[in-house]
Amino acid sequence: MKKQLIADAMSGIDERWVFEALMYSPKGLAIKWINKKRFGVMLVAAIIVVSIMAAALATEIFPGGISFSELYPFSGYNKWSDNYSYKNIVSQQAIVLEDVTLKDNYTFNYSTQEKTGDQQYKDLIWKAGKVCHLKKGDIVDVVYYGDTYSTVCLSIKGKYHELENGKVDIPYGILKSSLLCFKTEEINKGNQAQLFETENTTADTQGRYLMKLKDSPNGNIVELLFTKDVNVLQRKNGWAKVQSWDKEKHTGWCMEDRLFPPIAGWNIYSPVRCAEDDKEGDSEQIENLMIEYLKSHGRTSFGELFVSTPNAFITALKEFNDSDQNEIIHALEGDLKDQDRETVVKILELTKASAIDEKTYEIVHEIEEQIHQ
Amino acid sequence: MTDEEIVNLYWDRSPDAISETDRKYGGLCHKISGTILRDKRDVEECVSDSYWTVWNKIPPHRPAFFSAFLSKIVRVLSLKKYEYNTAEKRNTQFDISIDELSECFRTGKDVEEICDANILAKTIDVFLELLSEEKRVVFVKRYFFAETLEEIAKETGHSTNNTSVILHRVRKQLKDYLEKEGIYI
Repeated sequence: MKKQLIADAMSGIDERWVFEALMYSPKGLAIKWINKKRFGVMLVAAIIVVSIMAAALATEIFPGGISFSELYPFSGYNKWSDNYSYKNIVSQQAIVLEDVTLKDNYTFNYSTQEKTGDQQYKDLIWKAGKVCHLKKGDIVDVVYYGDTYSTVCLSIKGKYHELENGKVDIPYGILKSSLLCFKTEEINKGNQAQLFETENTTADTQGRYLMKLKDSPNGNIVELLFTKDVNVLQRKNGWAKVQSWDKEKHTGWCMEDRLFPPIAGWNIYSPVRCAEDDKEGDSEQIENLMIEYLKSHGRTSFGELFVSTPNAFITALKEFNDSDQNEIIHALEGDLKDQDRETVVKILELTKASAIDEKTYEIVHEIEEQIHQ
Repeated sequence: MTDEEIVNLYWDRSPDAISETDRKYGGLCHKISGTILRDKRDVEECVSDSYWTVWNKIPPHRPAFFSAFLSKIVRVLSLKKYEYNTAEKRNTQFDISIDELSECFRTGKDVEEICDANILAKTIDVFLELLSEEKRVVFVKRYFFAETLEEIAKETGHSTNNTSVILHRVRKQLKDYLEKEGIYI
């Protein structure tokens, strides 16, 4: 009876929630042609940088009648395609300045956003196959994505139209390398460190970018650990304010300068770690960090530390990237075998119940799974 | 054919309305019904009945979201069939999702305390309004469409584990919300 009532109640929920859930499915989207099977592994990367000031100035990008108004982060990248990491899609909102009719072969004029960097758009050609009238004041989304080259797509009233030749004239490879980076000697608390363009930058499976500094005195690698939903940055130059930096641990936090407009998913604080050039040194460094951490808490094993201060342990664990977390959890799993199992299970339950965020919950869940295996 | 065009066919009393509905949403209807009912013949019957119900409701009704309107009808008819068919047999997927959800509801002691499905639906509506789109979608996919965690994860771009975590949190939020609102069943 109770279940029947709940089932009936769920049947009675507002249609808009049902519709929203239906449309959230990639099957309900207009852009069905972007799919994994057809295009294989296709990374999407493109970013628009428009500063708040530039937005205010409303730089004319389409003198034919459309002008950028403000940066508009595309929310919910997974609306684009099933099982696909279109994390780098960015869209901008544009306001139509005067009535314009888009028909095949209509060409948007070239424009440079001098105020905001190096993005240039050439000859965006309307090839949607049908005429589209835009009125003054209409808002359209200009969406950027791409594989080898960034491609531009115009979204009008929820429908997406690819613009032929809509290429941002920066190859994807360079886009990827245009990540934030800074001089090590300038990394000190409160300092401003200039960011450099780097070369041959690729992301590893964890989504981390290892970048050699152009001007690194020690030949070190600075690793910017982006969170999973952070866009690849297109900026070639910029500034990051280092909030804290530990020279011995080579770890710290930097903050992007607020002169830049916020970009979807870009966390203000990005953990930065400086590792040795030799990749094999990484695990040793992690081990050292772990040992230091144990020492600082007067413990000899992670199991002991976890049982005594589970919440502090999880908080500290969150400071590490996913890969390092796994290593630590693995070590913890071994250590916990020496602890009283009932106590461990109870602590895990309590920690999970009092988890303050999803990440904490996930970590505890992960530890639980490891232990029960 | 757009939803609006299909609705217009119903208004015009064109028999094509049903065939077009089936062409566009037949798969969806079968999926919704299939998560509730085991027997394929039952599913077929429910889907056909749903089309017939839509035929009778439009006109005068003109749904704003035709797909959602149809989905709800399919779900309601499938539930009725399910209830009629059996109280003992359990359809795993649907039952699991309802079992999960029922943990959020406290049982009322007095008859006066117990609310009906309409009030409950309205309360859940208000609660859903409070959620982020992402969480709401995961919730509706699980407890309206009775989708599996794997299906939801695939459709929303999360890992299965993460989907499970999201659902766990939303259920907890719902439980707290229902308690705060004094809702018992």
